[in-house]
Amino acid sequence: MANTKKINRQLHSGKNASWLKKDLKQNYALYLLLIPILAFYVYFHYKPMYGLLASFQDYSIRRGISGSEWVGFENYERFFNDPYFSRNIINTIRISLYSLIFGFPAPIILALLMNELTKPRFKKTVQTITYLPHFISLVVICGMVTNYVAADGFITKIVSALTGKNIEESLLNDASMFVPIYIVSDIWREIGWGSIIYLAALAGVDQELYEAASIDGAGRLRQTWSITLPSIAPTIITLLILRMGSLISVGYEKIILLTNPYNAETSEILSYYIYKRGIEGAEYGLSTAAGLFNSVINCVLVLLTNWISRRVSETSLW
Amino acid sequence: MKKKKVISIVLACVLCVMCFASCGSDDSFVADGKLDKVTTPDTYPQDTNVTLRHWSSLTGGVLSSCTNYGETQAAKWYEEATGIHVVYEHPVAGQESAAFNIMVSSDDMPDMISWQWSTYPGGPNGAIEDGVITPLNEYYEKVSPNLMKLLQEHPEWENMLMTDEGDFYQYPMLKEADNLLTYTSIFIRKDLLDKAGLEEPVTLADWENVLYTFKDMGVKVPLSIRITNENLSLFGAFMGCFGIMGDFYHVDGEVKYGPYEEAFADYVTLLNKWYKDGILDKDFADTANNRRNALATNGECGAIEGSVGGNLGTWINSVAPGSGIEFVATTVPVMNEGETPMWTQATHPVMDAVAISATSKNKEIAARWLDYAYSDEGYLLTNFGKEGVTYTMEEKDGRQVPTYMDWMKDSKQNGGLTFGECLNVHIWSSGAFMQSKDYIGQFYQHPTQSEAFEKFESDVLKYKMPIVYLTADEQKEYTDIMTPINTYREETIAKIISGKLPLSELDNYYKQLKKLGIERAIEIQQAAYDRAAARSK
Repeated sequence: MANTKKINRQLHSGKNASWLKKDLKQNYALYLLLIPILAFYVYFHYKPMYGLLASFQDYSIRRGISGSEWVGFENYERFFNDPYFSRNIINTIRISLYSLIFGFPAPIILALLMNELTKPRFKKTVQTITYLPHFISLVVICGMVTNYVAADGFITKIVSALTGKNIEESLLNDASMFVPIYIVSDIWREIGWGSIIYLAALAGVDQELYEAASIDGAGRLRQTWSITLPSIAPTIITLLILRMGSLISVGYEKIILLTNPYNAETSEILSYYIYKRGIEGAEYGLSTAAGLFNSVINCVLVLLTNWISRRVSETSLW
Repeated sequence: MKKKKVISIVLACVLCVMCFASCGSDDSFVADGKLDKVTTPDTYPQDTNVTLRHWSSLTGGVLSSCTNYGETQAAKWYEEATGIHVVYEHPVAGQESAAFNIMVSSDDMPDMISWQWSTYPGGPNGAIEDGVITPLNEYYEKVSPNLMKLLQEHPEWENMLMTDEGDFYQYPMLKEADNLLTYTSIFIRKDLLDKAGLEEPVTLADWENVLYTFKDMGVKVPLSIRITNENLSLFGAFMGCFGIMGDFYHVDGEVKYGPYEEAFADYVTLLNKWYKDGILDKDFADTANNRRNALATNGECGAIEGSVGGNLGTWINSVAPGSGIEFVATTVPVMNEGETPMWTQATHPVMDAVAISATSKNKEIAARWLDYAYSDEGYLLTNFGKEGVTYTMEEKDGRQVPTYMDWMKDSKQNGGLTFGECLNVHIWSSGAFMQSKDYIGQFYQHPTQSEAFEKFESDVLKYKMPIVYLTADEQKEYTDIMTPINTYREETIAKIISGKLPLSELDNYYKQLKKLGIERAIEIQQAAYDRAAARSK
């Protein structure tokens, strides 16, 4: 039994090798074209992974990985034993989940709405206006946000009119308002840009389907539900999987620009912690450990979403 | 089966890459700092054709007229005087740390490096052990007669220049007198004081009186001070009144942590009262300069914390003419009249400047080049430029004082520069030299600014921590304790002052600090302090 398996394997691999040989000969130009791309990935995406070794070291920039002292899991222990570790994780996941729940569907809804517009000129104008914030620097955006939610900012005024409370200080000073401010400003900045890809997918939907549906008596909502959404579902799912891949890597840039001591209990996140310890504190080993932890979780999440999606909808990345 | 093969190929690739990568880095090389034979004379200019490379960040003021420090008149004069050619390498502004890391990890380090060596992991001793910089004891002794002479005149500096292991590691920036050390103050509105018929406040009681009067006069923000961890440890407005500092300090050799002292609760209670009564700036945690500039210049605040140069200079220049807004520096507040203030902002008289890299082939020449700045001629050249060109000797207070010539202050004659920018091109503002006590009074043109420096007397140097270094293990333990403490402290104090947490939370604050290990952190600082006190060659 074992023997036949072995023989089988030899046969099989032999076949494989000869197939590869033949193909190499025939299509050598194509393989040649592949080399630079492969080299790019090896050099820029695989070689740097070697740096992960620093997470097991008392890393010194001058000595490099070959010269630094090995310390085993010390960096990981220090990372997990930090009194604020769980708070960082919870905050990261909170921000991520909310931005997934509210931020992910927003561009889809905008694209669907724009799809219903009939006047091309009006549609273009709306598109341009919604894109614009994407091109403004994050620093400027956060400056604007800070002003809008300051004690005398217009958003603060709206909020105090709606809630009937007299708000005397910046909304950012209220820890419970940080996540909403973060999410809403994110949606505002990215909604137009995010909708482009959906608009492209929508443009590919066969118009005859709509005609047929309207003859059958389907209204606009029905058409959207039964034709538009299923047609762009693969795009949505692909983007969702990619999005899951960055679930716990919320960027620290925006946090740095919006955080203050009052909202720190909801605003301090993992990447900000890595930034503080690694870059400001020059502890490269520790921050590499934290970064690896981050990547592993992201990777697991991508695999998981992909697996669920393949089971449920037959659409998946691989 | 196919999968296994793919995996093994990938693993093989990864292994290959790892090998390449590890072959790339060289064996670390630690300079022992030996200087067996001196080949250069004590006289300048030196006769040499060596070109030295100097890595340093470029100060903003130079940038307005040059892109490289070598283009400045100051650099050219210095080259002429020393006879040594130096090329300057600058990191991109704002990316200094990244550039430093890349430079240090490469095989190609320049001869001289300007850096904050205390921020290097493991401190200067770490940099020596990592083979970044050279221990300089022999270079100090054999080829730096000018610096040695200054150290003999100021024996208190020697200790500050040394690592715990007794190594000198850099050519420092020295501050000739105490008037160069303090530059932060609370500036008060002179016009409002006059209107209310009040004197400049001296004691805490005076301050309360003035601030509450301002409040009654309708001033929107009577007092704007910065209350963050960073600002408390730098300046800590009004903290000295309570006999504490905002960070680690020592009283007769016993290390204490200000925010863990009992008096800190009184300080926070006072700020909380001021906050409730509308005296204190509601946004005290937002230290952004643009917000504070607006507060100062549109007349909304009565007193505001800031620096004499950057902040006060901006405010004086951007106040609308005719508004009558006039700021004046105050003395450091005290609890009782006649006391010497305990604590205000002050830098150490010795600051990190230039080290010689471990890989330099021309260490001796580099030392010669650096040492010239501490000579009498070098002192005049680096602080004032060339006699008859940028300065003249003038009689002042019964002695000859080098005085900048008027053309430097006139933008029509100096090529459209501000005085500060013009100075930056002709004299040194950073680097390895001794800054002159006569410089600061002339540097600031506005009388409010130059007078400010006469008001900053305090005992801060008696209590301020000396320059201390933690060992690598201590450093790890210390940051693991202090990072959470700093996070907790900043949040909790801001919330207590602003009333988001009740004052009774202070009890819990002390308990929490203890639980997070503050007493161990104090022990670590105490050990470092003891080592610093015991340093010797």
